[in-house]
Amino acid sequence: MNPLSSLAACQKLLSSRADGFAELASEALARAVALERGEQPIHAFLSLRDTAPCVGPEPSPGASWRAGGCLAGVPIAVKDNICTTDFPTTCGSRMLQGYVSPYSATAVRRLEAAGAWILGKTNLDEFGMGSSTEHSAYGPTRNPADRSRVPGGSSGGSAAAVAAGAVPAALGSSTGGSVRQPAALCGIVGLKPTYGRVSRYGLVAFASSLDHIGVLARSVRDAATVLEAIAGFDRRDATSQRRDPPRADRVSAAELAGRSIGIPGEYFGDELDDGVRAVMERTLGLLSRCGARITPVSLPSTELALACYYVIAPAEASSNLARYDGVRFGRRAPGVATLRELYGRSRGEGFGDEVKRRIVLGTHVLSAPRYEAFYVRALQLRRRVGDDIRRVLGEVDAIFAPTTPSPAFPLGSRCAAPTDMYRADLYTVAANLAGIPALSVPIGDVDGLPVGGQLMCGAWEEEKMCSIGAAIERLVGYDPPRARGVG
Amino acid sequence: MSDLGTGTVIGLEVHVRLATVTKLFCGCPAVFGASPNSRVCPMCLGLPGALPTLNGDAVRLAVRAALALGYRVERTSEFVRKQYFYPDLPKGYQITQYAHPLARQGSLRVPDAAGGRRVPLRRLQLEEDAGKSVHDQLESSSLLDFNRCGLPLIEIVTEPVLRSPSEARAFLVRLRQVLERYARVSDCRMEEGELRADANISLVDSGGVTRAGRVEVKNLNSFAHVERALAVEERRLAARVAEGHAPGAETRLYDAEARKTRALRGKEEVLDYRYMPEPDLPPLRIDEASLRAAADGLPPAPAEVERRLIEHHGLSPQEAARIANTPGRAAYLEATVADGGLPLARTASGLVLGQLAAERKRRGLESEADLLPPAALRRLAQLRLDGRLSARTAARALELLFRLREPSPSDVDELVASRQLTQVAEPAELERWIRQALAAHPGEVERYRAGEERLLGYFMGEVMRASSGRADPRAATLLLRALLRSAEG
Repeated sequence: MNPLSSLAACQKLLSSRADGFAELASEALARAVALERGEQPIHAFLSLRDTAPCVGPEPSPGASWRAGGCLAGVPIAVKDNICTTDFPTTCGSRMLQGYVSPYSATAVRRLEAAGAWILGKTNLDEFGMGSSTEHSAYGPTRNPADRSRVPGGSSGGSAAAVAAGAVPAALGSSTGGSVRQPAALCGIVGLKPTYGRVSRYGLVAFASSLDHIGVLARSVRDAATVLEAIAGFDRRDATSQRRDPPRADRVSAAELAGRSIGIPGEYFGDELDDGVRAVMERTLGLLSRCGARITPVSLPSTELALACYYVIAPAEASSNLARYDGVRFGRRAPGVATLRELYGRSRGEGFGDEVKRRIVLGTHVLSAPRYEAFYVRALQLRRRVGDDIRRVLGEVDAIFAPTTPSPAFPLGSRCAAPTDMYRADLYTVAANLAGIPALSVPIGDVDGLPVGGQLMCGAWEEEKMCSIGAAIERLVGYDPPRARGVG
Repeated sequence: MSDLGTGTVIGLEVHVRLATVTKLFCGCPAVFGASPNSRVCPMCLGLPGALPTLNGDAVRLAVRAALALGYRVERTSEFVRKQYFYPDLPKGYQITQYAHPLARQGSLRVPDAAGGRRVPLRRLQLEEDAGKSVHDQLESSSLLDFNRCGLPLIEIVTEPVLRSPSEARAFLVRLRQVLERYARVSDCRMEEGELRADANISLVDSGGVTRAGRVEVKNLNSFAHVERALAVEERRLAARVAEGHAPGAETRLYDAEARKTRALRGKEEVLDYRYMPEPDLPPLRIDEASLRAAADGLPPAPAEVERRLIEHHGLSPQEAARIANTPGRAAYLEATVADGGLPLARTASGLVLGQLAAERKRRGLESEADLLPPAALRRLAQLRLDGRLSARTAARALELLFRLREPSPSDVDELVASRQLTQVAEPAELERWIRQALAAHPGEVERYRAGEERLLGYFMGEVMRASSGRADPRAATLLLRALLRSAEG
């Protein structure tokens, strides 16, 4: 059995013998390296540890979170838009090729304080902009379940690394669905917490008001454990909140009976793939047989949420990416004569097409003549999306819906039509706009391609959300990809 | 310019650096003159992933400044990003305030011939400074120093109501007085860029219709420059109007050496700053408690103090302005005179502005109160007012009092008695000093008698010398004249 398939498996090996860590670390490293080999490499990682040390990091004595012990010696992967001093942080961009941050993100420091061993940095769509990990300057990641298909994105590298069994858990980031969507497409669990739950300090900003650090793991319980380790107030992030981290030991798969689960009709429209619909319907049947009250609910702002997202996210991106100017760090075009040329060429050569598209879009909607018509209206719409969701969540315990309209699509199939790609985020953007927690759990597959079901709960209700998620996980009994010989 | 039927309208935009220990959005020390790029961190360099956290002390000082300028402090204000590309702006945007500033509707009373004029202030906002570009040290490159990035500034914008370059200058002098000496929120050292002003100027006709402008003048780094640049621009615009032009909005740079302004950019090149809400900072809320904390120990406005000194204590406007220069000095004078009446206040004010101010400066003390307790000064002023001390003996008494530690009023009396400093009006005594003086200068006496009457002052000086300054000048003058005359007969 792969000792990297769960936190429990890691701990079992770590506690079984004195050199447990060395063996676990070498195993993780070997598996990670293997993902880069072959004719169709998974290419989950952008950088890796050179060697596995003999002794793992100890949880720091001051670490106050109880999850600390659970992560001692556990290899964990980190998306390459989260700053680390031990590895470059490229954001999947030529702009930051070789860039090493002088500081580590708060989430990374908390992982390390809890004793985790960062194995490497994972591939992503450039600066998190994409839903397939094809928009990486360092080549696409492939889906371990089917190497001809995308792993989703933008945390595709983290999802693939976990799905392929190189690490039991990884950090990702989500701006519009970049944790849940790749988790769903790779058949693992993706957890996006409440906005303000995990410090964004050291997460390279894409759209600050929508950016979240999230967790990818193979079980809800493991995701909750990692979340507990990284959550909590951070004075370095003015948007982080003074809330106690959600406790993994309070996550219980026991009770579904009596839970009311809202099913939003808008998430089952024409765009929903028939296979995904069938898997969802089967899951709903299971839920209702367990005593869950399945309640139809309405989220009328669903279709508008995507449009709203694609105004706000590019607007913030155009601002956040202004700092990549070739002056202080990152790519600087050589041999330029004027300031304008320095900017034009550094940014022109450093950014990929999707990033440029969003910067142009964002600059447009923030320009004085367009601001009211686009940006201000998008902000109004964002409030409506949040109000809609909060209204529904006042009536039910959780909202349950498909995570994505379709399973993993073939590599290259949507690159020519950006708006088709954007539709992959249709079901996930609402939780980012509203700042509420959301969780994707594998609930089955369509012809071997994993399908995810998405739970959304009220702000700060991660414990309840994970409990329902764990119950669904147990109920469905979905076999993660490793059982089919991947990884 | 009256021949053109135009008037001048000037508005000012002033940036003042708050005297905080650390920067506005990070923990870097806010110091001047450190070696380039030695006071920087991921935040002020705009490194990927860095986030701003608001410095509470900067907020306190900004609120204090707002209160000192009579602003209405907003319970909720918001930060925005003002976006433009420039190498000394690391993030590609400045964090500032726009639609929802920290405070609105302030005012500052500026002295003028008519006894003061209220200049309305539009808004006060809290924002970060940019870095510094140095363009003239290397031939083909510019140098960048990011130490200044993120230093806390407040921006104060006046309504365009100032009527002349000299009034603009008077406004700035008053503003500095309030912020530096009264509110103590900034050191306001212009040479270090702690107070920077941009001005806009327009010419309007008698009906208030704009004839020229609005021209923004930048690069004004002293009060003298502000006044001179505006005067230069006022003349330039008037000349253009006289030639039949209607100069439009533009931005011009003042060249202090050439005493000229030159065009920087015209209206058509106006920048679109693409303002957007700053998502990394929640709205800034100011509650009652923080308002109280910011107002702690805030003295009344200098205009208010001056009004009291003039109306209640009978000082002249010039005297009042000098006394109110610092709130400490005004408080000292008021403690000294209490309700002692107008003559006492004027006498005390003369002593404070004269010998006490000079001695305080010589010793580098904070306040005149450190030299002499108010009660002792009051006693001394009273003796002077009663005619028991002359100007000269009062000065001598002060010199001696400065050597004592915290002298009491009775110490003053004792010193005046023991050193025989009281003024003498007793005729026998005076006559003895006068005769002594006249006997020493028979030649001058003869010239006086020959009609050279201006020598009277000379003899008075000699009499004062002979009396060690104790002779009562009025009585001595009368007697001196009489004796000179009687000797004639």
